[in-house]
Order: sequence, then structure tokens, then C-alpha cells
Amino acid sequence: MISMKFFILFFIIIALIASGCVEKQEILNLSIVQEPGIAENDTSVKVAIASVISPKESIVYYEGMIQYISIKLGGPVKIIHRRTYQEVNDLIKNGEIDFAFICSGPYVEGNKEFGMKILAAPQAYGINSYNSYLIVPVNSSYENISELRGKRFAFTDPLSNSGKLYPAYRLSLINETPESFFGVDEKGRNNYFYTYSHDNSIIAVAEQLAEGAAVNSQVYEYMKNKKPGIISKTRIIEVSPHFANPPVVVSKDIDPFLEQKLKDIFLNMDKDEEGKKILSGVMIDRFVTINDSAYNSIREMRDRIK
Amino acid sequence: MKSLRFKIIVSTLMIGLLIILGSYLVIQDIQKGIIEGEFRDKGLLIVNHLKLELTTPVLTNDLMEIRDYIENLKNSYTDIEYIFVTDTEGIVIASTFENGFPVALQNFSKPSNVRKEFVYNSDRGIIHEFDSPLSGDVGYVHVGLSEARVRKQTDESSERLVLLAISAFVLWGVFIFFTGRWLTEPVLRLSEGAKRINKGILDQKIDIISNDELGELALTFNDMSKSLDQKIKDLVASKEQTETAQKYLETLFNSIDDGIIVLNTSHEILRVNDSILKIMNLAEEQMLGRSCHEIIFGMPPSPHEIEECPINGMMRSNAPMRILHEARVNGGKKILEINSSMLSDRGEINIILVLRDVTQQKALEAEIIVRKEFNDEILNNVNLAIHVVDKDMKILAVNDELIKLSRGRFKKEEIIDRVLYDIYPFLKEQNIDKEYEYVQKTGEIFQSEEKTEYLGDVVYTSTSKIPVKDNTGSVVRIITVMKDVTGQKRLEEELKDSYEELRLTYLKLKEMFKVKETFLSNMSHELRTPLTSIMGYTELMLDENISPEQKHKLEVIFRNSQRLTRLIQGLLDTAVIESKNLSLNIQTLPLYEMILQISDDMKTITGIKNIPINIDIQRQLTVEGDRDRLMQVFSNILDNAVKFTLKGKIKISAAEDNEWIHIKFEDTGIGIPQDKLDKIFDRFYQLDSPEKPGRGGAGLGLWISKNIVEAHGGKIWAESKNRGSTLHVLLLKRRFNG
Repeated sequence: MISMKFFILFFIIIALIASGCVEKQEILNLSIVQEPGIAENDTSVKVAIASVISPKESIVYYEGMIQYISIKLGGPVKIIHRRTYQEVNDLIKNGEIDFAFICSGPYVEGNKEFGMKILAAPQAYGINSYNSYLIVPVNSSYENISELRGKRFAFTDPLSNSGKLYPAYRLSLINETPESFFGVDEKGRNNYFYTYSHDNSIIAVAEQLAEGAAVNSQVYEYMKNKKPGIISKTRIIEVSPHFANPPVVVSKDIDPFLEQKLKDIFLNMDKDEEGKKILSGVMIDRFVTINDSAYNSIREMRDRIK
Repeated sequence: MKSLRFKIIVSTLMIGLLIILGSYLVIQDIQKGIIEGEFRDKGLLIVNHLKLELTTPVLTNDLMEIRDYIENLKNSYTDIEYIFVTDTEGIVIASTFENGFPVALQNFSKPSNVRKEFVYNSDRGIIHEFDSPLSGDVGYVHVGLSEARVRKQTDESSERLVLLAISAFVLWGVFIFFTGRWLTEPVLRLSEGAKRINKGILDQKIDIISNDELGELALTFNDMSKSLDQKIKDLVASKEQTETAQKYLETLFNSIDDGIIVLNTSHEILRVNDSILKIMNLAEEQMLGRSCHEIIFGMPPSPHEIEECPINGMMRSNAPMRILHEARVNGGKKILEINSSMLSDRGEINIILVLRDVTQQKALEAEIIVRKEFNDEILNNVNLAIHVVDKDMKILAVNDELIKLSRGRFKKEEIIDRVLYDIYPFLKEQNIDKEYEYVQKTGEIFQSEEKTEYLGDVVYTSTSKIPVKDNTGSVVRIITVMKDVTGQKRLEEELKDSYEELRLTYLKLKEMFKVKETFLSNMSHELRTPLTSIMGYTELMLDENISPEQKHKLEVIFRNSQRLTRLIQGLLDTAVIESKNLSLNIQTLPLYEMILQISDDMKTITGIKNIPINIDIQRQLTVEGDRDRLMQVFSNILDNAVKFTLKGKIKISAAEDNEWIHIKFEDTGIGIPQDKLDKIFDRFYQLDSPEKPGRGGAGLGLWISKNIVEAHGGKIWAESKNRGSTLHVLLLKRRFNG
């Protein structure tokens, strides 16, 4: 006679088999979308990094640097990524972030517009400056910018100094604007475009998606080491004068205590081993104080274009 | 037996359920594999396509083109839940999400989290995401494929699969139900058959519906019940036949006019018929057990006289003997013609004497011899047929009796003066003429028994041929005196035939008993082997963890198997007893202990019926006998007592009575009618109770008990008043000498 226990055991086995031993999985809700802006009650220190600023590979080192700062500050530091300089500038302007790594161009813009302040600036290879390179495909015949009339051109960011301001300034010298000089394509669109990344501008030229581009010299040099295959497909036809390095900036309304604390951290970063390691990752020797007047050459170019 | 069917059905159903479930799971797994394979192919295809197509727009930051492209792609493939493109830092530059980018996917968009392929569960169902970096690592493309549509399809097919599985299970169930019935039906029928045999219905047949071992068992069972029924019918018929033959023989024996005496070799009279009692004018008791020479030959019963008894001569010569003897009966004389013959029956020799009263015949002969003359008066005054011939064999006179003997074929006038041989030509054929010649020559009386056949009519006569001499001593006439003994002779012949028939019937009956015994022991073995298995397995199952209802059913099987075993044991015992092979293992046995054990064995039933058993036996009492056999006797008696007692009590007592132990089983049951007190010990006799006729059992218990007790040199009998009965058993206290 088959006992009741046997039946129960049998049905437990059946139930186990039937259930297929399903893993309990988290259900992601795809209907909750990203909140616009940053939460008001978030008390952490926030830093913005514009994606245009440096070679893409180095982004991970920035994250390391932020973590370092967080430890030194003794509180959480949250990274806010924004694709364009304008977006980052808006964050500073609105007091939504506490400090930011931006380019020299946006600093000049922000400083003028809402009093953005310099916290420190990086020093690499012992120098505090960089250039804008005008590059073309290696097998093209272009020798100077004036030969690029009506050609497809890659700018980095509308606020970028090396990627937009300088080439626009160069065109203004021959009484041209990007619109007038590069013209429009068959669809009536501008013949120039923004890549929002110096890397991408270099690749666009290398792949001949653009006949020319203006890029940050530091990024170009970095890529020469890392991706010589891409760089070898390009050629520099013009090097701009030196510009002061892209600074670390704060809002003019920043808590002075936090400003001082951050300043100390940046300026002393090269003094300890951990900091040194992080700095070498982004090919920076150290952070130094820099005078606002170092950016005057850029201000002049901007004023001329405007 | 119901549980056997239940078990077959349930276990097969479970197997079916497992198979169906297993198949269902395997098919589902295959389906899942197909879906995943299809998704992987599609996902990788789309993502590779996007990798090629979106690199340039991403490089040139042609967001419009990217958006248009991914939107179009999404619209052309319903499986695509979303596509999004990020730059190298993981910032989303374009996506198909219209209402903003989901928070949940932000983590996935980071370059460090880019994976080739992964699956996650979302509020929109299961999503298979395929990621790829764009050419030149200018960004990443993420494609999410939703299982929802395919899931719907597979769910539909799963539903159909479930329906199919359920139908298959139901069909399987129906199939198994009938298969179970088909498998267990013969067993149930066999069991029913055994129960009916147990009730004594022997003439029955179980339909054989399978060719397997069960069918074989049913066939054996049918053969057994058929043979058993036939044997018992044959036995009854033979018994009746024997009884009829015996009665017939008895009638014949007594209706013969001649007296018949059966003797043993010690001349002791064993049997007599009615005629001899008349002839000797004695009662049967006066003759039986006495010697023949004392009764017939009038000699004193002394051993040396036996030597002189005429029977000894016959015994020595081993040939039939015929003598004339004058016996004294009631002071008078009777002349007896004694024919004796020997009869050997199974090594035992009997002597049969046929005595005929020939006094009248002899008187006539004497008178004829003395008077040398005869007249009609003499001739017609005797009931003997007489004819007289002269020396030339010419018939001088006949009497009416002779005409009667000739069955009216001749008239007196036709015979007178004719030559004897002309009238009766067969006399010469049978050489009877030589007898006449002998009488003429020697002048002596010639006595013979003649069988004459005339025109198909057979007539037996006891004949005396008496010479009548003249003065010179020469024979001038021969007077033939004939007594018609045809009737007796025929009866004798018939008696002889009947005896032969009786003997053959007896031999047949004996043979039949032998066959029955062999059959019974063989059959009992054939039935006992499967029964032992049934009981063994039932006991094993009883030990298992089962429900009370199942336990009850198993106990019913067990009890009935035990009953059947007892019945078979009874039949076996019958065979043993009838073959007189009952061997006993004699030892000194403590009576109290045995009775206590028997009553303990009955505890369950006596407890249920609330019948207390009182034992009043001194502990030191012992009997000599075979323990198992005596236990069987006590068990049978007590079983009957419990069976026939509805309320009251049972008392078992024992007391010493000289060399005996007298054991009494008293009950307050329904009692036994006076005329049935002896019959209850007969084989197959069953006493029905008014409350419950046919109480089961084969009616062998008490018969077996009686045989066992008698084999022990003891006695068993029953006593009953209006209510309640007492079974008495006498057993030898000490050394058993049987």
C-alpha cells in the first residue's frame, strides 16, 4: 500500500521539477526615467567632468582622482558627466555642482558670464600651456586653413578653445566665419560639425569623414603614443600659439571653506604617493595656482569673434 | 484484493504522470533553447549592423541620423524593445526611449558595464540585451530585444502542450483503469472461487480470460474444483451403488429357497440366510458364531471333532463337494443335500454351504424302493416331477408335475408308451442315457443335477434315478424323480454375479479413494504454494505504513487466506487419515498449557463476541500424544464452540478418570439436536445455525478430530441438551500403546 508520505514526496519532487528551480531575478523598471537636474537634497560634493576635456582612456583616472579627493575631504564626491561644455557651465552657473574640470574656452566664457573662478590648473611636462592643432588627412594636399574652404570640418565643442575658438579666430583673421567659409552640404546643412570629443575629431579626420579638424595638442600627443595607427593617418598643418591649461573651476558662490579645502587637496596632490600615481595616470605633473590673466589671449580671440 | 487493483492503477498512473511531465519539461526546455538561439542570432545581427552603420554618424555627431536610424530599425523589428547609443564615456547620445532614459539602464550604459550579451527581467518582460562598441571605439550601441512576443507564442504552444499532457493523462488513466481491471479480474475471480469452495460449492467454473500465469492458475483451479466435484459425486454414486448392490444381494440371499451358510476356515458360521433358519427352525442368533458341525452335523463343539467334519475333506481337496446329510431338527429328521464350495476374497477364505431340504424326495424314493410299485395317487401327491420307464426306456407313466416341468409342451397321452429319448432327444446329447445305462447295470440310485435346454428354455432339475428290481434282482423299471430347482439355480447364479459385481465395485471404490487421496494432496500443494506467497506478501504489506482502511482490507485478505489454508490443511488431513498414514509423534504433554495456548489464539474473536473462556484444569495433568495433532483437535472443538455460541461462556475442564484424562468443552451455544449428535463427526457434515446458515468451514474439523483422537486410542463424543453442548474427549493419561 502506497503511503501518504510517498504521495507528498512525489508531489514535492514534481513541483520542484515543474518550477524549473527558477532563479529569483530583480525586475528592472524601464518606465522610471532619469530625473532632470540633480536632486536638491543631495548634500554630497559634486564635480562635473566634460567629456571633451581629455583622451577617453584617461576618464577612469579622473574617477580615481575624485575618489582621492573624496577621501581627503572626508565626504562623498559625486561625478556628474555632461557631454558638452555648455551643459557643465550651466551646472556651475546654477550652483548644482561644486567644482568642475573644464576647458580654457568655457572658463573664459563662464568667468565673463557668471564669475566662474579658477581653483587650480594642471601642469604637464613642466609647462602650463597647450596648443590647438589644425589637422588634415595625411594624404591630402592641404597646407593651410585657407585651402579648406567649402570642405567638411570637425569642431570639438562650441565652447572649446582649441577645438572651436582658435580655428574660428583664424577664419576671422581672413574675414570669414565657419558658416561662410565651410559652406553647406547638398542637404543644406552646415559643412562643419561638432564631435564633442578631441579623440573623435582626430578619428573623423583619419577616417576622412572630415577634411580638417582643430584639436587639443595634449590629446593629439597622447594618441600619438596610444593609437599611432590613427595619428599616422593625419597631418598637422598649423599649430596655434600657447594657451593656458584648462583649469579646475568653482562657482563664485562656493563655500569659502570648501574652496580652500579643495584648493589644498589639488595643490598638494603631488606630495603623496597615492596622489602622484593618479596624476601620472592623466599625464599631469601637478596642480598649480594660475592667474586669471593667463587666459587673456583666449579672451581676446573670443572678443574678436563675437 | 481491491488494493492490488488500486496499487496497479495508482503506480502506473504515477509513472504516466512522470513520463508526461518529463516530456512536457523537455519540450519546454527545447522551446526555450530555440527562443534563446533565435534571439542570440537576431541580437548579434542587429548589433553588428548598428556597429557598422552608426560609427560615422557618431563620429560626426549626426544625432538626427542616429536617432532616425535607430527609430526606423526599432519600428521594423517588433522584437526590439529599445536601442541606445552612448559615447565612449557612456553618455547616452541617442536612444529610442521617447520619455527619457530609464534610470535602471544608466548602469548598463557605462563603458565598464558593456557586455556582449545578457538577459534581465524588466517590467516589460524578459529583455535580451546585446552590446557592442562602435568601430574605432567611438561609442557603444545597446540593443534590447523583448521576449514578450515570442513568449506569447511559446506560452500559447505551452498551453496547448499542457492541454495535450492533460488529455494524454486522462486517456492514460482510462487505459490504466481498464488494464488494472483486466489484470486483477482473474485474481478476484480466483479469490471468489476459493471462497465458494470454502462454503462447499464445489461445482463452479472461473472464466479464463488470460493466457498468463493467472490464467494457468484459474485453469488449475477449475480443474481442481471440477475434479473435486466429480470425485465427490463419484464417491457418493459409488457408495449408493454399493449400498444398492448390497441391499439387492441381501434380498437375493434371503429369497433363495435353499439355505445358505457362510463359514470361515474355523468352521464358524458368519452368515446365514432366512431359508436356512426355516430349514433348521432356528433363530439367527442361535446359529451365528457357532460351528457348522455343531449345528448341521450334530457333533459336539470339541476341537478334535473338527477333524472329522466333512468340510475338512472339501478344504483339503479344494473342490466343490456334494453330500447328503440327515439332520435332526426339532426332534424330527430332515434329509439335507449339502453343496459346498470355497470362496477366496482378498486372501480370506470363506466356505459357502448351500443346503437343500430333500426329505420328501428321499421319502418317496424310499417308498418306491420298498413298495416296488407306484400308482397315480403316489405320483400326483408329491410336488416332484416323476416319470417311469421300462428297461427299453419306454415311458410307462408320468405325473402332472412332469407335464408342468415340460412347460406344457406335451400332453400325458402323447408321452405314454413312447421311448424317453424320442421325447427328450437332448438326454442323449448330454450323455444322460449313460446314467440310465449305469442304473440298469448296477441297480444303484443315481443322483445328479441336470441342466436341460429345450427350445431355448433352460430348466435346472435335481434328479434321482431310482431302479426298480424284480425278484431276480435285475432292473425292470427306472423311476426318475425330478425337482425343479430352476428358480433357486437362477438366484444362485445371480447371487454369484452380484457378488462379483459388488467385488468389482468395491475395488473401483478403493481405487477411487486412492486417486482422490493423491489428488487431494497434490491439489493442496498446488494451492498452498500461491497461498503462502499471498499471505507472506500480505503480512509484509501490513507492516508497511498504510492507512487504516487499507489495513482493514489487507486483514480481510489475510484472514480469508488463513481460512483457505485451514480448508486445504483439512483436505490434506483427510487424505492422510483416509490413507491410514496418520503418523503420531508421541510425547508427554502438559494439558493446561496446551488449552491455554488454544484459548489465547482465540482471544481476538472471543473478545469481539464477548465470550469468556474459563479453564478449570490442574496444571500437573499430562496426556500422551502428538502435540500438533492434539492442538488441532482442541482448536477445532474450541473453534466450533466459539462459532456456535452467540453469548454466554465456554468452560474447559479436565479430570483424571482411571487411566484416562477426561476433557470437557462446555458451551452455552445453540446446542446440537439429539439425532445429529453422532453425525457431527461425519465427514463434510455441517450444522447450520438459525442465525447464520453456512458458517464457513468444510465440515471436516470434527471428523478429523475424531480420527486423531481414535488414532490416539481415545474417544470423542458430544452431548447436548436444549441449549449448549459438551464435547467430551478421553485421552490416555500414561504410556500410549497404540
